[in-house]
Amino acid sequence: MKSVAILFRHAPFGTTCGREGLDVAMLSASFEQQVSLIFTDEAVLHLLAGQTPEQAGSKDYLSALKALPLYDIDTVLVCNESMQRLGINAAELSIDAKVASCNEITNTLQAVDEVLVF
Amino acid sequence: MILHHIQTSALTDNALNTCLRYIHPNDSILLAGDAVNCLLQSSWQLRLASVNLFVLYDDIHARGIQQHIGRIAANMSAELFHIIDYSNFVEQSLKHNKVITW
Amino acid sequence: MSKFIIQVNGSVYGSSASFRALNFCQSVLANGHHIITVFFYQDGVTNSNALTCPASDEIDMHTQWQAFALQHQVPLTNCVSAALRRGVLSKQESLENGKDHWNSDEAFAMGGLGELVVGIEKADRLVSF
Repeated sequence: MKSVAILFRHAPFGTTCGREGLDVAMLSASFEQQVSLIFTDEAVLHLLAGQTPEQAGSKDYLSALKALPLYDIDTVLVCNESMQRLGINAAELSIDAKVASCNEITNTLQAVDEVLVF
Repeated sequence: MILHHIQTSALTDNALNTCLRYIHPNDSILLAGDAVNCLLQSSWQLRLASVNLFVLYDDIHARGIQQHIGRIAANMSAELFHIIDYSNFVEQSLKHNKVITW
Repeated sequence: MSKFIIQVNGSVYGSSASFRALNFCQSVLANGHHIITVFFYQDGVTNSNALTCPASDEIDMHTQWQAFALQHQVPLTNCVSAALRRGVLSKQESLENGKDHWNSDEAFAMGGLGELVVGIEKADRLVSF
């Protein structure tokens, strides 16, 4: 078993990075890898509640985020600095995620075996 | 100890900027592809001056900026500035604990 | 000797990531290391499109990957779901999906994301392009 962090840095819907990154996360978890998710830059917008991806021509892959605990993905970090820059506060997030300092994200990147960026 | 692999232009993509937000003092950065162009800008030279930096030889020469990079390298710390080929890229990927491609 | 898994997300044309990935793979082998597989994901799956026909004075990444795999017996693996979404089909997928044509070359095996995950688990190092 390896520990893998999937880091999202692209905005939702404009590219398929978020969707394809989430697929890797779910699949890694179902193969019994220890998976953490990190959302930074505009990717933090993936976690806003009340989105309708179909209106932007995207499959609603965000509802899969609610299933993360079923996959034993318990570590979800959201970059505090990115949230502040976009004016997002923790109460607006759709799932139970940890608002993390840059230091905490640095430590996670150091600690895991591999990091995949989407 | 992480090798941060940047492939995209710092003018059109946030990869380098985001990487610098989370970099650890023991980490290194490898500039490849369009990412090498950021070295032409004094603002990026300044931000990268204290980072152990690798730059891919082929991508500098392909873009005809080797003389510019040579002049810039003269102002950077010789211990921290390395122009490398693919073979050394492979070995650096193993010397570091992991490679993060941003 | 170290074991690598290489992930290619850059497309067959329009991005230089695939070119650098191939150069890296050649150096991995030249330095005496091993490549478990080259895994093509996202737009990287287009590298397996056998119908790419660049002009003769342009680089042909599809042919280069094919030649590399053949020469060194390195497995090339496409993520099948990423490929299907982008119109890259092997003969089997074209039959299963009721299409009359296929374009993915047999040098590229169709596989699931599980092969990436298992590859990462086995490898000493993952490098993405």
